[in-house]
Amino acid sequence: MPRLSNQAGEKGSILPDGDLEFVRACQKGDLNAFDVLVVRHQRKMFNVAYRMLGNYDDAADVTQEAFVAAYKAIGTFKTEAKFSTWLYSITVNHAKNRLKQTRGRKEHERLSPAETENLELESCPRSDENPYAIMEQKEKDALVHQCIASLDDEYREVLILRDIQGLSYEEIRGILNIPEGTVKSRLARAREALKNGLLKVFGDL
Amino acid sequence: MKKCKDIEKLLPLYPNDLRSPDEAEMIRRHLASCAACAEKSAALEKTKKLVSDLGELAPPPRLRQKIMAAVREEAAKKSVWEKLFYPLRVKIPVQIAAALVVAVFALYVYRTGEDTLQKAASPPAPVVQKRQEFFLPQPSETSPKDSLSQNNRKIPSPASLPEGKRSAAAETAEVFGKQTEGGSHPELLAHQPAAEGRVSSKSEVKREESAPALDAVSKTQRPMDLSGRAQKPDILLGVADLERSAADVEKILVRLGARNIVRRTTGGEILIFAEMKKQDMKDLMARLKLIGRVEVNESFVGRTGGDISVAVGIFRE
Repeated sequence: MPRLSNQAGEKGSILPDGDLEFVRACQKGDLNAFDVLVVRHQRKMFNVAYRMLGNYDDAADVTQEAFVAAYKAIGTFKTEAKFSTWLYSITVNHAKNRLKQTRGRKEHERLSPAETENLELESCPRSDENPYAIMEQKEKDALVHQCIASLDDEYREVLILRDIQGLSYEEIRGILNIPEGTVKSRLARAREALKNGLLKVFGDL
Repeated sequence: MKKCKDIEKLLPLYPNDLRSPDEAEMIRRHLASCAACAEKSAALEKTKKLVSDLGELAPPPRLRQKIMAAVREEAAKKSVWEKLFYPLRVKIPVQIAAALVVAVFALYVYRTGEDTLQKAASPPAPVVQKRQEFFLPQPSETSPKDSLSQNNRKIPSPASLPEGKRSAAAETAEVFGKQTEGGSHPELLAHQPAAEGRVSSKSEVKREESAPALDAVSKTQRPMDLSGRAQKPDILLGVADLERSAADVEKILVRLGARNIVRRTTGGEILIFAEMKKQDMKDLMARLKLIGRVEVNESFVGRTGGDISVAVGIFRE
């Protein structure tokens, strides 16, 4: 099995070339190599799914489905591409499908602030010495999350991929399979719409 | 200088997502001189910061285990498929070789079948050979010595034999004559051809007898039990005197111009095969009825064509 080139699970620590050797090992049937890829990418995929779906359990299900789908199709993965981009596209597609299903069943509900508060946010800036500040930050995050969830699907996915996940336009274009110009125009509208939504919620930014 | 409306469209992409640095510079200048646009730009910057500050959620603690359990399950299904087709470098040549073997075998079977069809479509073989193929040997009541003396005994036409030797055909002619004199079946002579006693080379009578080794097989069988097999006699003739009736049948066939007449003695019954014209069948049936009890196989009744082969099974009643 290839040696890990970076610490799995650390935010922003995934080296693009580091995935390929595990992907190749996985294509030869090495399940441990796929396990490494899961460890590396599960967090990001889960968060994309969560921001798109707004539901923690659905996000977990979709993340699992996406990884299984990726494993099944790993033989078709072209090593010239970036594995994480390919995995993002699978996750986004599964999340979209789940949205359609949940909306069809009229079960899709946006997270309430209370629900969001109960979830542990690990990377947000907060002061551990001030519980009030932590609570304030959580409330603010919940409202932002609600505003994001209220965006149209096509705006929301671009915003999540660009402003939350920090992906490049090239990556987003590959994931969503749309031209770069469309990505930019959707992003501009998404930001404008989100700004207006946040102004309504907060009154002043 | 661009108007505020145009700037506002670009503000959400300012400063890093614009098309060119020139655009960014142009907006920067505008924002320096336009308070309203600067305020909107500030709100957008704060929005971006709020979004980017959103914390990452930790996935469920056992998500990795769940994913890998599902993946292993999938791998188990996949491995069955892989056993058949992977690794490609090994399996594909083997599969191609196997496919070639199957193709060659199929071709061989096809060609063999084609030959068989061609044989079936070709003109019929002489009745003697045909019947030997189709009739299974029947137990013989005669001794091995008798069998040797009778087996495959050919009865050529009298003209083809040296003078003084008695051929089966001559015997037949003599017997026929005696029968006529003795009046055993005088009616048989009613349709005797003008060239009486003359037997053409085509009307040779062959005699065959089955191997004695098979005696035990069907001694318990009724003489015409062989009719129950695929090779049924066309006509069954129940008589009191087997040998004499067989000779009479041969004579009738000769008189009706039948060809390739073959007699076969099989354990208590005699089979006589011949080729003859369809229109003579009526006469044949009428004469056979004078010799004994006649039964006609159903499949024989519907047989068509100018020349037909006929098998007369004679058994003792």
